[in-house]
Amino acid sequence: MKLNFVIIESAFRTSNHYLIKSFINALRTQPGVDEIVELDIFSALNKYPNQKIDVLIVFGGEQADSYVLRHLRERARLKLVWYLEDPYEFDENYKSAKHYDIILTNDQAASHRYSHGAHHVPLAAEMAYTTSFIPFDVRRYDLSFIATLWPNRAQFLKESESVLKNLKTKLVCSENSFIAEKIKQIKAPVSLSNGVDYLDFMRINQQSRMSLMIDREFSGSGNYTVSDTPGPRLFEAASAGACPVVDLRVAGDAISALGFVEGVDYFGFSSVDDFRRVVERFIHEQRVFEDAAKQIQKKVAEHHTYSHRAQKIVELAQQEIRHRESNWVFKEENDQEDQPVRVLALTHDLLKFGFVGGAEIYMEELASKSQQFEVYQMSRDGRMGYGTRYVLVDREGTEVLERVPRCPVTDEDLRSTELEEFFLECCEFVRPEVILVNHLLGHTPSLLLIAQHMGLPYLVVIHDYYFACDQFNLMFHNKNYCAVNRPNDEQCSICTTSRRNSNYGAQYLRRSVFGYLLQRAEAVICNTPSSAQILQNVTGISMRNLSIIEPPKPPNQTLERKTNAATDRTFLRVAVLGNIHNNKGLDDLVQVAIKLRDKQISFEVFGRANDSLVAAINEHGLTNIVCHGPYEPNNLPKAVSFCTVALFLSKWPETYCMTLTEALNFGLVPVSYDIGALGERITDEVGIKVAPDPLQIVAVLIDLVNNPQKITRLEQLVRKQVIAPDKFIAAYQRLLVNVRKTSAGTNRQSPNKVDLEYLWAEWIPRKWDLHENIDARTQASSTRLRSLGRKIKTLTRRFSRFVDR
Amino acid sequence: MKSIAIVGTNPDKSSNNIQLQENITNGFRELNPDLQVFSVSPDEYLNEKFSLEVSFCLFHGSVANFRYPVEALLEKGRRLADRTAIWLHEDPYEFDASWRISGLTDVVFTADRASTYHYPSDWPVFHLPMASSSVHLHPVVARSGPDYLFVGRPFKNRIAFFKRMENSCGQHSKHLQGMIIGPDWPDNLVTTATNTRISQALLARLYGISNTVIYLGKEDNQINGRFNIRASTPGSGFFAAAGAGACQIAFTPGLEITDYLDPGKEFVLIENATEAVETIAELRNDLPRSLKIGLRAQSRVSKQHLYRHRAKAILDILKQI
Repeated sequence: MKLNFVIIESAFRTSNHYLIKSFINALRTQPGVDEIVELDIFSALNKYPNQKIDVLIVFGGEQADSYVLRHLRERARLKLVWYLEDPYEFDENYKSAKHYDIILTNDQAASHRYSHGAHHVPLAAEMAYTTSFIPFDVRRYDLSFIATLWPNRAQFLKESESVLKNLKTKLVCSENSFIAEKIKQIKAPVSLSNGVDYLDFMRINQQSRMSLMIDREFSGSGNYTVSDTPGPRLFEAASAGACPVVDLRVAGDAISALGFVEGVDYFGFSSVDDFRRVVERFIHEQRVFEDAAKQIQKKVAEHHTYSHRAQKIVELAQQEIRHRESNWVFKEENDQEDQPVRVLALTHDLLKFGFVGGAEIYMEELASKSQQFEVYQMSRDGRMGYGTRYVLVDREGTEVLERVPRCPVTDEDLRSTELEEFFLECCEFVRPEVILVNHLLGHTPSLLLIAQHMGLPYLVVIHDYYFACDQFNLMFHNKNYCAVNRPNDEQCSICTTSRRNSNYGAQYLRRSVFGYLLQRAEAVICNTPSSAQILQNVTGISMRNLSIIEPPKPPNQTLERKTNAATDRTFLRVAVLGNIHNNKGLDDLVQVAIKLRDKQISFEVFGRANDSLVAAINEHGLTNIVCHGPYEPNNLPKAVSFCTVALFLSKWPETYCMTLTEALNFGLVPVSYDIGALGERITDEVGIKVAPDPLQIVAVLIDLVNNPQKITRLEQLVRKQVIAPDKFIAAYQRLLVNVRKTSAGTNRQSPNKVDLEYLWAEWIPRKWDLHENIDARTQASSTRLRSLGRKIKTLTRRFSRFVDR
Repeated sequence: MKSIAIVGTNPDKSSNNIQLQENITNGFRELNPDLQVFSVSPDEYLNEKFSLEVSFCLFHGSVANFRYPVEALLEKGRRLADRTAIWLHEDPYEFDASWRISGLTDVVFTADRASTYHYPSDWPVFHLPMASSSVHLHPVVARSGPDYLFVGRPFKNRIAFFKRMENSCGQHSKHLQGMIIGPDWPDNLVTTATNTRISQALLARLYGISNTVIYLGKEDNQINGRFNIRASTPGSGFFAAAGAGACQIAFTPGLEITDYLDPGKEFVLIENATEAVETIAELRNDLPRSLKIGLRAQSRVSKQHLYRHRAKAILDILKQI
């Protein structure tokens, strides 16, 4: 019976990564093994999301109940754990052991303490080293000792200085915080360093006649302090051909239990005097030691290589699987193709919160219309400031979860513990198969790293350039489109520094993290090819999974255009659709209006007019600008039907511009700057586009008011660029259903804090914008809090006085 | 393969890599004079107007500078070159930063052997040690410089080594004259350090005339927390000094260094600071031996450890995969 093995090292951090490599090399040679998949705890679910596993080997056993391992266990026919830190970490291991079918431990005594029983499988050596033996007389060293300097070891070295000085030694010890003081007292020529790599360790042992073994007698976690089975070093040194000289006080019995005989295969000592005698014997009878070294190398080759361990493990697995053959059925995670895809969307605002644009409207369309996917939205509450309140809403728009972070999320955060917790809570609630990033504004990029870790594929929708720059419309610090066209433009540093007082290069750090996430998205969805191109230019990333999906026409648009005859052609009413602010060309609108104040032209603003527009109207007495106030996205006001032209003065490269769709759909002739999606979508047939300069707009409008027949001609051609909502939803559906296939799903508990701890450690900093003002701001906010506290106290006092009266 | 572009991964402003850039470029040129080798600075490479298409692009340097768009650089390489590779010089000290480059090049070369097996198993990773520039192969005729020379930065292990050396000098302390060249060395060492930047050619001369040159490995983990990988391969300084005909006294915890030069014949391998002092004193009185060791090292380097040889190794590996 051939089996497929999935093997994973359970600890994220480990200094002994070579162990798993040696074991895998041996496992490959076993006849019962069909395929071996080696996974890394960080990317396991991403790379191996939902496949069936015959045998799962969890190597090492630290944190053996982590999220990733829970997930893999569910798909495994047989779950096997090999604890390598027994007895030092026995308590923790004991807790996680219940999740596994077969328990292996490196420690003989610990194997009896597991309640379901465990097999004793000590570590071993690589077969390859046992095939050569360097004669003693050409070796470099008499004795080598390479180890972490635990207290008992430090003590021994100190006591045996006088013995060691008679030998040519190689003592390489890595420091340890527990014994820093003791080290200073050792006079022996110990080289304190980070230690040596495994390959060097083997090499030093091949060049040493004796290898000193003093077992660790210490536990950092208050567990058993003495192991009764030797660690891998004994086998490794012996396989390299060094003669082990072993401290019997710690490991004597265990070594005998493995079949090694003292005085024949190795030499032992129980005190410093003993050790002196061994060394003296070595000096006089080196031959005996050379024979012992040959003898133990042979024994290791015969019984203690990883091939032997691998053979035992494969046999155990085969027996166990035969035993339970009949009653195991692999549950396919993704065999529910008829079920709607569960999607968790990250959005920066919700339609119901009011202050919205195209991004929210398309999202709502997706969330509410399709039966093929069930969309929950995790959103920032846009009414409450940048990142002060977050909600999870279901497809009906009902808030099902809420979180108000104690420390508000800012746009310079790359991570936020509170938001990450809320994200996990949302995942727990929604059990999503796919994450849809509608907008990351208000969220931190760390959420997508968590998604990756959970094996949840994510799609990114590009509504602006937030993935390339915190200034999402790429407006330079002087309020014009920066037109930056390469990723390391010096301009980016100048701009970021002048806008935010950032230190040099902060923008690149941000771009590095966002770019990493963009590159690893299952799909990047852009509204238009031009926006995709700009994003690629600025980030320097060529996106492999790029899709262009054009958003639909605004749903439920009911207002019908008045007939041509009813519109007054001698007076040109120009509609300005959407909220008007500087990005959308507020300054230019004012300039144009000033130039055209004596003409038969009026500008009808349908959208929220901000204070600067009102101030400009009052200042210049602009009676030709009429503000109609905002309208609901799906519902153009009646006054629009008196207009014939729609004006778009966006100064940044919009990624789509929903109001253009509205205008076209309604039959208005668009006049716009030739920039971004506007320039791309408005062809010469359906409208007029000019270089970004208000005077050019003035010229066009004067021409139109003087030649109304031009408008009539253009009106015949518009109303063409309309995407049916069904087509839009169908495009998403195709993508989501495809992406779902690569999803690990989350039909289980979410990761906990410990599971995520290592995701961040060295990888991404908390903030990208580490400017000097952080302290000042913290101080300011604490001052605010203090003054608020004082106010509350005063009010309470007054209130209590009032009650007393 | 007709044309090759060599591009560093650190911004032009940090000048550390300029020398290396030149050495690697010259390595390829020496290997095959018919090959078109372009040395391109990363800033220039990222320029939108830069569109030189080549058969192979080799990036080299560190990838831990998060304030530099390394990803974009490698991405552009994929667009402009048929094949790309990166040679990571800072392994293992910056190993944890390597997630940035996953899947962005066809091959990854690492200058440290121990780091090789820590990369995920599906990465095409190969070991490629640093080397010496052919500029260093300067004829050496006599020793007339300091008793020992050390060139490099003051990492913790290096300072500790020099302190121990001072403690164990004993009777030699009055006679031995040492020289340290490098920035930021503490003032409390007997051997005072000179902070000066010297040209490659001058450095080679200095290596050549010094009685001995001390080589100490580097212990400078920046982001190497995941596997705490212990460096095993000697750095470029070792090859450079050997190329210049120096008689090196090397102290490294491991023995991989003996793969590159023969201990005893081409350099002196020592186990501790006391041995270092003794060896320096010994060689001071035996300059012909120092010269002999240096010349043997130089000859070995000229046959095996020039950037030309590394260039060949790179092209051979590219042919294989």
